[in-house]
Amino acid sequence: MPVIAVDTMGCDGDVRIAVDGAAAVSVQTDIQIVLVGPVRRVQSALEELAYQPEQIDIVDAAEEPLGISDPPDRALRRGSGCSLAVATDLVAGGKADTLVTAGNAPALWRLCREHLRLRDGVRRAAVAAVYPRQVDDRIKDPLGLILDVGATVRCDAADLVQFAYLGDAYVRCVSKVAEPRIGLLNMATRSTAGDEVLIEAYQSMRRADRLQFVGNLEGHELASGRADVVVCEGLLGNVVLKMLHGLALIAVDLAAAAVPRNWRWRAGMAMLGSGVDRRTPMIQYMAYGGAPILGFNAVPIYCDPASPAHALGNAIKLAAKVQRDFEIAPR
Amino acid sequence: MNPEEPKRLTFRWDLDKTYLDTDFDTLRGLVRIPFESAADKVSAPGVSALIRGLRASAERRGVEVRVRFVSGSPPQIGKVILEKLALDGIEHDGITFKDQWGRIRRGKFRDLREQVGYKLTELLRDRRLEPPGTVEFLFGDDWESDPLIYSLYADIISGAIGREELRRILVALHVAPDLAAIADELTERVDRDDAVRRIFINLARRTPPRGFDPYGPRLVPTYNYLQTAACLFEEGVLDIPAVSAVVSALRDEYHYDSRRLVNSLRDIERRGHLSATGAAALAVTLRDDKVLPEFALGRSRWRDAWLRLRLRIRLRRRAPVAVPRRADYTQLLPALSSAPAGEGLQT
Repeated sequence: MPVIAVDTMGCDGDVRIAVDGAAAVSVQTDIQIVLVGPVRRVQSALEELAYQPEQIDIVDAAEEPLGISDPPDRALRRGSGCSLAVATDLVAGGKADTLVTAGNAPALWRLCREHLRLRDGVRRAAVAAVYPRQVDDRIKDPLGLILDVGATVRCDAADLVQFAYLGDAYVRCVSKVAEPRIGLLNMATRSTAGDEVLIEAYQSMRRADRLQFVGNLEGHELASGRADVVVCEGLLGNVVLKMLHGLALIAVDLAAAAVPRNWRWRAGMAMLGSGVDRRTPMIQYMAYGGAPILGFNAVPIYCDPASPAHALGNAIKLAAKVQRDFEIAPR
Repeated sequence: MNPEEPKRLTFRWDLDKTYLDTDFDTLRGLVRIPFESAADKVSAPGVSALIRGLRASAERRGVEVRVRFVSGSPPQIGKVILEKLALDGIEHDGITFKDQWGRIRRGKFRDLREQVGYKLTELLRDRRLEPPGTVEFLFGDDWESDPLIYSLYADIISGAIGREELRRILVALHVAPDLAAIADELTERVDRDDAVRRIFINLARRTPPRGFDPYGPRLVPTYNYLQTAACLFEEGVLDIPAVSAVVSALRDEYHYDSRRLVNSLRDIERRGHLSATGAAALAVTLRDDKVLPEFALGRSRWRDAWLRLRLRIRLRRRAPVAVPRRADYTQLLPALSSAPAGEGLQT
């Protein structure tokens, strides 16, 4: 079973959230977990929960959390004892297979670049994220993958092609899609749309062996399911992802605002209630676990700092699944 | 024999969920229990190796030893239980079963599920047969009311709670008046001796350990029998070959890997039931014996040598580690008084 290092000092230093998620996973699965954080606090939080001690180890780290808006330099200082740095060291030293954190994203990114090795032939790593999309008879998987969503702000064409390969491998191995369709996010579908980088990336992907490239995608096609993997540079991906989250919140707000106005709307919402509840996990980023960072020998999972315990638990399960299944085929 | 050694050690065991991994959780499991043969019964991982080790360790040190079982199961399944113990190579000095049929005949249907009065009176009865100076270790689980029953028993025989306090506790627990009267009478007659050194509760239900704090440090909640063995090693009751036997049983029969075993030992150490020195001594020995080489605490030869020396001193002295203290019944009673007798009383 894979060994997952969990940074307990993410979530603004509240160790209980990560410990709660990890404890639940230890009872439900065989995953081995190393909780990284101040031992006394972590142990104290653990003892209030049902857990499986055979699957949990604790590695000590500094008491002071690295806030999400703190400069990442503290984490990078040698001997800082910062939980994120300790967790990355465990992965780099082979004591854990990968790590999960809801901490400082820039620090995670810099620690990964400094301590983890890129896979053979990979120039840059990318942060991937899943988003909900329409399903039909042909598209069974309700989630699409978009990368990069923030690791590399500006990319060249070769980077985008490599992201396409990384996304293709991830969706094949983890989402079990046999022939993933790859799309390039652009402002129009014609092959000459965008700047030189996008035009060159388009041509390279079209020529690429073993990539099922479906061409350029416009923004409104993201949710249509035309592609299983959407490739874009980090800046664009990050904006798209956050806009999707924002739209989901607006939809919820609109529904909530409608309820008190009119008894018929209220009755309608009540009747829709169970159906909405059933579909809600589709638009909750927390249910997906977190964003995998693809390209390194390990696949760290980054979670939103506001993640609750069950989201951290899902991230640990995702990390174990990715660690077990993700493999980039030689090309 | 060490002069600090007790002359006699008694190990009292519960059966279901402590020795046997009985399936109470499902209706199917419950229905199957009376029809199971000895071969169908499954013992908890490592428990038989631990009980054999307890007896063997005591005998190697020249200490008289008794292993007793007290069960809430009816005597009708006694034959199968005896066969199962024989299959597992467990030598024991008797099993007490609960006469459910007798209770039905007498119309005492409420007593069928009652555990506190039944077990407490049986323990007190048996205690009266022990010679003075007998030291006891009790083993139960978090499924029913073992933590409470064992703590009450330990506090009665140590004199920490008197008859009046016991009466109030038994009333709060809705113990049947006839059983409460027997317990009261036995309390009057039993010799006072602080005999119960440790109570081990097998966390079969994965109850959070914090919930057991009101019972005090005498009660040790453990997740598996390696944790129990490690604490008993530190108490001087279990020797290294016996601990090794538990490790081997878990590894060979139950496919525990080294990581799971090491994590278990670190967990019991972090929870404060095994001292850092005890854990280190155990680590060095298990590593030297190649039983658990991965449980390495010492990083240098000097530290290893120091730990070996400490281990040798420990093995000579064999003093109890923690002073038992009484359970905090005032903290436990509000929760207990609202619960039906014999149910969910672990916290």
